[in-house]
Amino acid sequence: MQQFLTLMADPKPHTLGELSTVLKIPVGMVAMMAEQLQQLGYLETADACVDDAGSCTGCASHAGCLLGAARRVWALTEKGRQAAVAG
Amino acid sequence: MTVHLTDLESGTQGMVHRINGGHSLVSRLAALGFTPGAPVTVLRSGSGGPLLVSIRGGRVALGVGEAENIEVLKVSGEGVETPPSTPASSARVIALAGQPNVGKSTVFNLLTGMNQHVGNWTGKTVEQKKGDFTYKQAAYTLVDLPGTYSLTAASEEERIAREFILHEHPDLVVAVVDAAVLERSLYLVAELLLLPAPVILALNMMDVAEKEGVHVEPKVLETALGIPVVPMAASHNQGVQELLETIEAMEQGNISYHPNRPSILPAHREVLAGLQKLIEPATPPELPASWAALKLLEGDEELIRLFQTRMSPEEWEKVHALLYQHEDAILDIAGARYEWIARMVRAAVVEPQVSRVGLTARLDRTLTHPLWGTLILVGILGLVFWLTYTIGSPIQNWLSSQVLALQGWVRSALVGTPKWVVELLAGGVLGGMGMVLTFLPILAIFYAVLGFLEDTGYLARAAYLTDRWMHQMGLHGKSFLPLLLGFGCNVPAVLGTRIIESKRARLLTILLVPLVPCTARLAVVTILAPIFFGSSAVWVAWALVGGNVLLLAGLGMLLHRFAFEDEHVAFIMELPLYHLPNFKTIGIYVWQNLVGFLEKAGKVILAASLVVWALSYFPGGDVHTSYLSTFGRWIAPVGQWMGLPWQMLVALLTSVVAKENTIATLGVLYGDIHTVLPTLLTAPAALALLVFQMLFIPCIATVASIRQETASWKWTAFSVALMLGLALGFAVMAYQMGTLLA
Repeated sequence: MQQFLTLMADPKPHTLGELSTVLKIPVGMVAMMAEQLQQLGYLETADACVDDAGSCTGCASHAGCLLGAARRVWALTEKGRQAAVAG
Repeated sequence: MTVHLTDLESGTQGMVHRINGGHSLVSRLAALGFTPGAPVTVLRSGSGGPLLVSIRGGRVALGVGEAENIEVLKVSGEGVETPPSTPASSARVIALAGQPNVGKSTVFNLLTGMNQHVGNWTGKTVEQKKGDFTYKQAAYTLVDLPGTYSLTAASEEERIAREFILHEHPDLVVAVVDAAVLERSLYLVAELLLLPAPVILALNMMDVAEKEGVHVEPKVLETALGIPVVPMAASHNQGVQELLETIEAMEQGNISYHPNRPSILPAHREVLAGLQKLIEPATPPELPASWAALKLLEGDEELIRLFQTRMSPEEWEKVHALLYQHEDAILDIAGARYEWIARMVRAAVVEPQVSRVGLTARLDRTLTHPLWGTLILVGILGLVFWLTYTIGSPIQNWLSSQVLALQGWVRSALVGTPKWVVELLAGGVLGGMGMVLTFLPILAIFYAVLGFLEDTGYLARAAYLTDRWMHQMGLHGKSFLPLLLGFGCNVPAVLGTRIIESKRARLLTILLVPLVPCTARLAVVTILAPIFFGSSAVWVAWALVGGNVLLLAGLGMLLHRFAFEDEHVAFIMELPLYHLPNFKTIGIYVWQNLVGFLEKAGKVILAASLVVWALSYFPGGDVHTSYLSTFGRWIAPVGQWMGLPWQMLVALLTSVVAKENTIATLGVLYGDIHTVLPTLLTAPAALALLVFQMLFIPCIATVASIRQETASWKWTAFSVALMLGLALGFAVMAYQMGTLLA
């Protein structure tokens, strides 16, 4: 978990697949770790689809929203940043 | 000796051994009580007709076809088990644990059949399912625990599951896991092994795992875990008998049980030991102190509350100080569990060389490569435009000629009707909205190709590559997501900037959003480019999109320099596995987009077409003396810088209402735009028109969102002015440079 956060300290985009290669664990487990770190407040989801805000309702191009499909993106929280640096 | 149920004579008894047939038959029979180990008595044999049998205290009539699928162990009269109608008080209690969707309910139904009691957990709204069964004269009560991913007490389900194991002391826990995604299921097992009850692992969905190319070695897993592992495919009634035998053997003490539990990482071992020592005197007898200490170190709020009430303030203060000092210990505890899971998976799971996961990893090595991936992305973008133009343009030309013919027919058929009415229909409605509708085939192809890329999983890679690239340019972090949304529509993109905490960064991202070419802008370029540039339209469209992105990156560098100085945000993106596209999904995607476009055409575009027509017709019925002409001549000098007549400027201005209005207005003012437009503009002027269109002020809905999100008219005006300035500047540059080179 600590290694996961340390990798996240590098401010560039990562994929679950990349982290899986570095951590030498299956992608599914990386996703699980991300979910748990989110639950613990180290990561937050940056939800790509803002439909909850109602912004897509009535928009003629809503289906053209490239990230409309469920796809998760996580970013470090302040707590996560501190833990990443400490690690 | 195993026989079919149909082979038993009236009055004879047997025990259900196996049920053959499909999943639905197995489930139906299980619901009637036909599960392995269940005693059954034939009351009336078939003789070609239905059988009447007694099972689990009830009578069931079975068709011969159904009965033939039931294999039973023939039992001599004296040795027959008689199931109690209600569980004996001495019944062993088994807790059935597992994540949601691992087939836990199927296992529960197979074991208990009709002997189920459904209620609620005491004081909770969560459903509780209990069931009874007997096996080899031993009675069992099976309690179905709520589906949970862990036992952290983060939800009511998790609290119920762990409280049951801690306070009700089940004799055994059967943990059902999904063999196809073993790594996801084992976290719960790692937690269950820390609790006092012995655990049997029901390795379910072996059939699904094999189908997906994941081969799990149950015996290896058993050795690695140190607990019994039973491979199962419960939906096919496979492994139930083995599970019953394992339960019985565990109960009889015939199986050695030496679980290999995950341990905490070394950094916090001493802390854990110290904490355990501190809390031991206050630990309730039903809780193992080692487990309680671990949970406290994990920050388990329920246990924190419990010990706070059971300890003196001075004692608690010591515990609290230790927990505060090691707030991040959870990372080591959970980290050790993940290491443990990884060890188990490495030992017992054989991933095939060719699998979707393996294929995805190999493809991603190229498709997400910074250089090769970007070149492929650029190529794919070109291919999207090429396909759209090659297939769509001929159809659009034909539809356009039909609209023109319809206009001619309206004009001749309505002779005698006031001229303005005729022109309203022919020029306003058909010339504007009608012309826009002829582009439906082009849009259909455009969206079909985009939908195809989305459904295969490629578009997510395109997003990731764009992010990498933006990162290189200094524009990264939380501004990436809203900008990416902008390719769909600028409105949600502006609203999406809410995820950016820094006000300054948020504002600058909002200002950048209109530079992202939305699908409506792309659609207009898709329509206009082939009219002016014919077979070269692909390159022009490709360059226009590239130009916008480059401009975005250039401004992004400024943004990075002045706004993101200290802000470095890393992202993890979940990329889906590549898969064959589902054409129904793509069809729905195309349909939704086209319906959205038609709705827009029927409202905004029609209204704007009529306003433009009215302004171009009145007061004298001639466009050259119209109100629009007066306004057009006033702004005409600006058009001269770009080689554009005033009609083009008016068309561009109407795009502020909706981007597609550019086409509608051109249709109203010129009629057959396919024939007329190429004769009006030189190539540099046409290029200037397209550049202007790509960079011009966004639609009114986006401007309204900018006002809403910035809560400032000043910044809204600045955004409008910025886009106007960029559009004008780059369009003039394109025209002047093009003219010089021509």
